[in-house]
Amino acid sequence: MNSSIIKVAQSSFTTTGIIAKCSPVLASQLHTSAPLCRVVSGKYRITKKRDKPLTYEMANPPHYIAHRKSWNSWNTSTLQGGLRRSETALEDEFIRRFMTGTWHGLVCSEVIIKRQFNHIRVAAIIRRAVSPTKMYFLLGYTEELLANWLQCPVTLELQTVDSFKDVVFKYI
Amino acid sequence: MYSSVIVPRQWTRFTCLCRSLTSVEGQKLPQNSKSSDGISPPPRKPRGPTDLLQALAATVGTDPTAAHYKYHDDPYLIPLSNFRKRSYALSAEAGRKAAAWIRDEHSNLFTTREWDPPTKNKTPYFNADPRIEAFAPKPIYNDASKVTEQDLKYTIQNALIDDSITIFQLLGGTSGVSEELKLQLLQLLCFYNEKEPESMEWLEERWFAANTRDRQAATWRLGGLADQIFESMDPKTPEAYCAMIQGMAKYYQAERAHMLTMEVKEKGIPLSTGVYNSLIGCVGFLREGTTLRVEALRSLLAEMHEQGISPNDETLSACLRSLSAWGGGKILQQMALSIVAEFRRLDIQPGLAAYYYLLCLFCKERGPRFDILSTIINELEQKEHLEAKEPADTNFFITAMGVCSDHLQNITMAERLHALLMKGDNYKLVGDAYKESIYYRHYVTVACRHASFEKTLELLDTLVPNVYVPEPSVMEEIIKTLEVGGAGDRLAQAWSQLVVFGHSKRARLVERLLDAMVNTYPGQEEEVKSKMRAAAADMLSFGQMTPEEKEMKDIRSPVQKLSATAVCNIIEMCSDTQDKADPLWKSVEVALQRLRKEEAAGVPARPQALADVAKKAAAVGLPGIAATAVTYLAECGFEEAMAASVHVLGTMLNRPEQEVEELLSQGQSALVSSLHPAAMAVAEAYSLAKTGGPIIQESERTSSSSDSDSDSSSDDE
Amino acid sequence: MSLFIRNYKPNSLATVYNTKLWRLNSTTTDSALKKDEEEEEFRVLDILKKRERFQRRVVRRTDIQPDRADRMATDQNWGNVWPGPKTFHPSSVPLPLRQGYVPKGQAPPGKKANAELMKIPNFLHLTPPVVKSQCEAIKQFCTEWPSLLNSEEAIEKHYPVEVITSDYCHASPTIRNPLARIVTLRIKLSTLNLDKHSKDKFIRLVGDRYDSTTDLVTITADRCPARAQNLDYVNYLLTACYHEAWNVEEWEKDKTEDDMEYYDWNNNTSKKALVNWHLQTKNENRTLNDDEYKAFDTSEIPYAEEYKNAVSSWFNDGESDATVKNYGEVVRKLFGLPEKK
Repeated sequence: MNSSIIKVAQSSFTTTGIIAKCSPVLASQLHTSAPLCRVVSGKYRITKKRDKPLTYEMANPPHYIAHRKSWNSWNTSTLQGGLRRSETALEDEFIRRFMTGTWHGLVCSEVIIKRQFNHIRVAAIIRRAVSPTKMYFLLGYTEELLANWLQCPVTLELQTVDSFKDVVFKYI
Repeated sequence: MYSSVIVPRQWTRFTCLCRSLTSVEGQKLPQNSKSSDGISPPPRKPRGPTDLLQALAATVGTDPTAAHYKYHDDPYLIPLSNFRKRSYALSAEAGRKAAAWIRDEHSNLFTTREWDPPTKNKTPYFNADPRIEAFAPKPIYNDASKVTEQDLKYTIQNALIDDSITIFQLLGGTSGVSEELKLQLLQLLCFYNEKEPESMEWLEERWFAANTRDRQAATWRLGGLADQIFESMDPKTPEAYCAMIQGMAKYYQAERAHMLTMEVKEKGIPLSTGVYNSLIGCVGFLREGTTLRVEALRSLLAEMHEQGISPNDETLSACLRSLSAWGGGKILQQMALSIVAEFRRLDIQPGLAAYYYLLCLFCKERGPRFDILSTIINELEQKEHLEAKEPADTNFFITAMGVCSDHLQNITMAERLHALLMKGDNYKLVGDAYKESIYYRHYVTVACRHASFEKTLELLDTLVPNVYVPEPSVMEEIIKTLEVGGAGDRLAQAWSQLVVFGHSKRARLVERLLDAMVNTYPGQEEEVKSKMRAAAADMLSFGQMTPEEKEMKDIRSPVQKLSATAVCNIIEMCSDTQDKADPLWKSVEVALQRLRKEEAAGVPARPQALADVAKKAAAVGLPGIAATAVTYLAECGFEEAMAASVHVLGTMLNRPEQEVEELLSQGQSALVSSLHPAAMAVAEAYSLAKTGGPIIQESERTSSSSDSDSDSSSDDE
Repeated sequence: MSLFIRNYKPNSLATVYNTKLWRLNSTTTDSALKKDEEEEEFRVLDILKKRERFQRRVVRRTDIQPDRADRMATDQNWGNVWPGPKTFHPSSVPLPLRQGYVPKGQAPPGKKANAELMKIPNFLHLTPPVVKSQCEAIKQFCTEWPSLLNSEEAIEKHYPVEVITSDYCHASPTIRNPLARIVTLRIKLSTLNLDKHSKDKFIRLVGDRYDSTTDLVTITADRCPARAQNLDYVNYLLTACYHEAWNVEEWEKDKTEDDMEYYDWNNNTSKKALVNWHLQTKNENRTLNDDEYKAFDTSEIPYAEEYKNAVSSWFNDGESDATVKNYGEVVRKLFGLPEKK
């Protein structure tokens, strides 16, 4: 902190010269799925019996992000000039798959990943279908393995619910 | 371009101030922290890398509603009993271990990027920058691995005994390793006695390890690798001798240690303070009898003086340890006090371990009272913070609390000691989970016995259940206190606590609680009373398994039966209601049936209570229950049965008692036709009580039938 | 068989593997067959798939304890309950929160099992009392602000050099950010000890790093990989420029009037003309050389100073209505002509 000014990465600056190499501006402006984004993706079809359960997250299509629902990943890489864009996205996907696979059939919500400095906090809603002892085993296993894999301290912040019905927002 | 960055003026000024002072962090500076001329800023205050964090952490206190932070903060995952605390923490660590195993087994996956293009070299890749050593896979050594002296150095520095032995053998044993490394390995082997220590990484295992107190027996491995290495060393350096003697003395191979010391002394090789400390620690194994031992100790100390070796605080605690191990008695106590005084003159203050040994020496279970503790606490309170110096330091607080509770029976002393433990970060000295729970057991016991009622309640609220779960004996103590204090709602709450803590199967404890509840029951407010009734009813239904469950479960441990007195207590409390439709009558009925089926041990201690219940049931209009109660009394052969049955029958038939007695003296056959089945049962009970045996053969059948249709009959009326 | 394939390696051991495995395989199949024959001859075809009743273990669920928020005292220290950043948990926060968009007339989803509440970063760990206590806790590491440095001016006077660097906090396993190496140094030109020549030279040396409107010299370095190197470099640049500015090279004497960066009245023909005119009005017929012209004291000439200023401003500030008008007025005064009506 001495002889310096704290400036959080998000404060704006222009990228030229050497900096352009560090943050590929072009890469983040390339969208390949534009035509489908508002028509099909992230939307659920109404069933005949109207008995398909939707969580709050599922009930709001993607274009409501930042309006009715918020992001599932929180980090600084997507800000202007953010570092490690592709790596962060890939790691987040790895964490999601690892969580849903390790906590098999227990995860009732999206896996929420928040990163602060090198600390990764993974939050999720878990069904109380296994005994607390088993849950503690999985907790320790997940935290340690992810921490060793990503080389960041990982903390799991779980909330348990009785059954999947608790997170259902509506039926369509 | 960067000049366009807008920064607050003050900040930039601040930075330039700093800049003119220190261009690089951590530069050395004059340490007077005052601005000399009002313009040049005072020099930076020195601070370590974690000082800021520790200062911030010191602002956070304890939260009595939360479990320890190693447990997950969720109602489903917070443990409430000792068993659960242990199993949850250990299973989390088992998960950690599993992950660490995967990491070590497949270390190549964790250090390279598999998805890199094939043209790129698979160089080791680390996500974190700077690299974090703790996340790196640990090397695995086996007979096939190619090892160098570097590996041996690494394993010795990380205290990996088994691995270092493997590498040592692979390198060619005693001939293939340099003298310096041999010495290092010898020191390591002597310190741990060639046994792999429990890893520092797995904290919970250490915390919950059942009993790691070392046996006071010669466990030193004779002719082991340490001996081999020592033999092969040429010339044998003083360090090697010191390591060997200390190792032998630490693992109580006193004879050999002594012999080796003699050998060394003949050769004129200097010894270190540590060697003498360890020799003092095992001097008692050489001699028998207090006087001889004391003599040997004295001669050792004199020898140190001759050699010109200055003692340190470990010498003091080693002396006291030896003294305390030799039993009690005036001589040893005098000796200990004089040693402490002499060390004080050398400006060596006794540490926590020394105090622990003093307490052991003075405060014997059945000895005379010594108030040595108050002096010790006075001295410790003066200190800014307590340092942990040796493993025995963690024994101090538990022993001192034990002395407060059993020896001195002094609550003020206990409170002072607890305040000392809670000061700063002294809590680290509490030891492991076992010691922690014993400490609190003593504290809660002494508080229950000697503290004021309000204070005890406050203490219990903060400690139970997140910090400490009372053991059955302490629970009994708590129940006693609550009974004396007349806290009815707390007693009702105590039942749910028993269930949660896993003590509900202990019949003795439940009976004790029931007694307490019955004794405090009168004189409570109606709301509290209803709570207590609910608790009593719950006790009855608890532990009663459904028939299917009974079949499924082979009964491993015989379920302890509640005594008849306890069941009676339940009946008494549950029957305290005027409402006929109250579901509590149902539990009264269940309890009575349990009594009759002899599922409860013994006979009730106060049959009068049961007789009262029968009368009350009859008055409310539940003749079935009244009949069962009276029958049970009669079957047990209580005298109260007769009076009760007359009274009950009188209430049922709405006649005065003389008339009823007349009626009862009539013949059996006349009654059968004219009386209601319930009333009939009462009549039979009367005759049973009077004659001591059933009058008619079918009394068993009729009474049981009266049980079964008592419900319908009460509905009819 | 799959085991075999996986283990198969083209080396001499392969054959050994092969035989071993086959034997192993055959023995297991044999024993399995025998077992089958012993137990039953045919398997019954279960058409309706009457499943064997699974002995479903009934998980005896312990009652979930009540939320610990219910047990919290109203006067508790919230900082102890929520000491650090943590995802929202309904059973630990005693607030009746709701979050989520619903059609009009409905209540938003409650705090339990609400993923939205878990997503948003909360500041429950930084309540005002906590911030206050934390500030108190780290005060012990602060030093006193120098009492005489109480204003902007004082600071500027005593510490004229400004160094600007940036630290970056970002979420990633690395603590490095390439932008952190950039170092900017700022200094007011007037605070440097420079005379007329050296100042002129300094400005020419720093080029566009000097901003004449704010009088600030800004030097930025980002060519080295580490901040300390860049800092050294910036300091070096400032020092080098300063000392170079004081050097007078031999060739600097060749500077002609055309090389001047501004119009100096004393060196120009305008002064010559004025002096000549002045001498003529006093009927002194002298011829002066260049140096004498330059050294000629014009203070004895009435309005000469104003004339000088007017001409200088015309040349230095450029021709505009104001300068031209000013020049006209001064010339009238000089010649004693009546003022323009």
